[in-house]
Amino acid sequence: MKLFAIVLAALLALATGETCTGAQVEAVGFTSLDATIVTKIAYIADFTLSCSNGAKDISLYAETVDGIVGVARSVDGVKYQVSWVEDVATAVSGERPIKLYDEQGYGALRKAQRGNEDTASVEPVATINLYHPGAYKGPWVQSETMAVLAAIFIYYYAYTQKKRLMS
Amino acid sequence: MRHPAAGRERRMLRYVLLALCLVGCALSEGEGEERARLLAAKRVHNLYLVEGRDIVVQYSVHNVGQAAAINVQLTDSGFSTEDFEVAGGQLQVKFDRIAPSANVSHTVVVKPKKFGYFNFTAAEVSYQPSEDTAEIQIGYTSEPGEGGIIAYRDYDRKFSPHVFDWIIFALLMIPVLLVPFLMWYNIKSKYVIPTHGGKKGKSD
Repeated sequence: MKLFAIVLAALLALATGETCTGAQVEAVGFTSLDATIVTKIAYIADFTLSCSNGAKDISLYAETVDGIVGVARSVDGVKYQVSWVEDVATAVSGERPIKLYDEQGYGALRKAQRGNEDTASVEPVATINLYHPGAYKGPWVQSETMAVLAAIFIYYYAYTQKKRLMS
Repeated sequence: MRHPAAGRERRMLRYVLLALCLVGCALSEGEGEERARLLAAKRVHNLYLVEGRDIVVQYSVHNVGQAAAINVQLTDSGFSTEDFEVAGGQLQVKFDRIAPSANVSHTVVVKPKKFGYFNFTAAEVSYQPSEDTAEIQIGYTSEPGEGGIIAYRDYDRKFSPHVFDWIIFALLMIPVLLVPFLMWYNIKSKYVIPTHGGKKGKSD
């Protein structure tokens, strides 16, 4: 009986794929900071995943603005990368949470989506926060404008003084 | 009355037809399988390419086949380490599985170390078209083409706010404006300009 249970558990584990418990994520984020030369802002999060149960080579899926997408991995399978682009005009600054799901989570998400249930009920394996400080879009006022305004002001002052003198 | 050789001819015809059918079956056998087919695009999302500043490169891979593509590897060897510095992202990645009619996108940000004309070449995509076969299919992304990377000082001369230059200009203009103003002001404060009548009072 016990042997049967063990065999069944092993088969179940094989069938459902490896899961990661106690996931630890170390992430390095990058966002485009200069919006004057690019047309889209890039959001990139490079991270490594370590599981307390020692599971390796896990395919992950991430929830981004493009929907649920597969996460890219380096060829040796250690480093993962989530990335997307957004238009300069619509990009907002601040924290961007990225939820990561494994195969089972992804399956559960798709089922929830198809059944129109709330997708927030599926627990992510881990969450990364990508901080975007806001991209530099150029100075608020052009320095040339300031110079022209200052010149006009000085001229106006001199002109009014002269007018007062002449009258 | 039937010709005696007609029976032989009819048999020949039947054999030819059978042979054609067999050949047709053999040829169409490959179309029944489901295969994945990936289309990949590489785009550079930049208004200007400036030395030492970000270049945003996006790769998007679409699966237009009927089967899922397995072990998709995307490699971009066009950005050599002596000419470019990778600011974010990895140039060589793999996706475990791309489902049919699904697409994935990958973004890399590089900074050029030199200026001049640069030809953005295509990246390579290799994948297994189906789970059954072990053959690897190799394809290429689209090519963004040639772009000119502007030297930083040319870009700066054209686009930076030049606040420092304006401050220097203001400092130079101040003595030019201030000296006549002070002269006039000194003289003015000695005389009171009349509002009614023409009386000028001297306040020594």
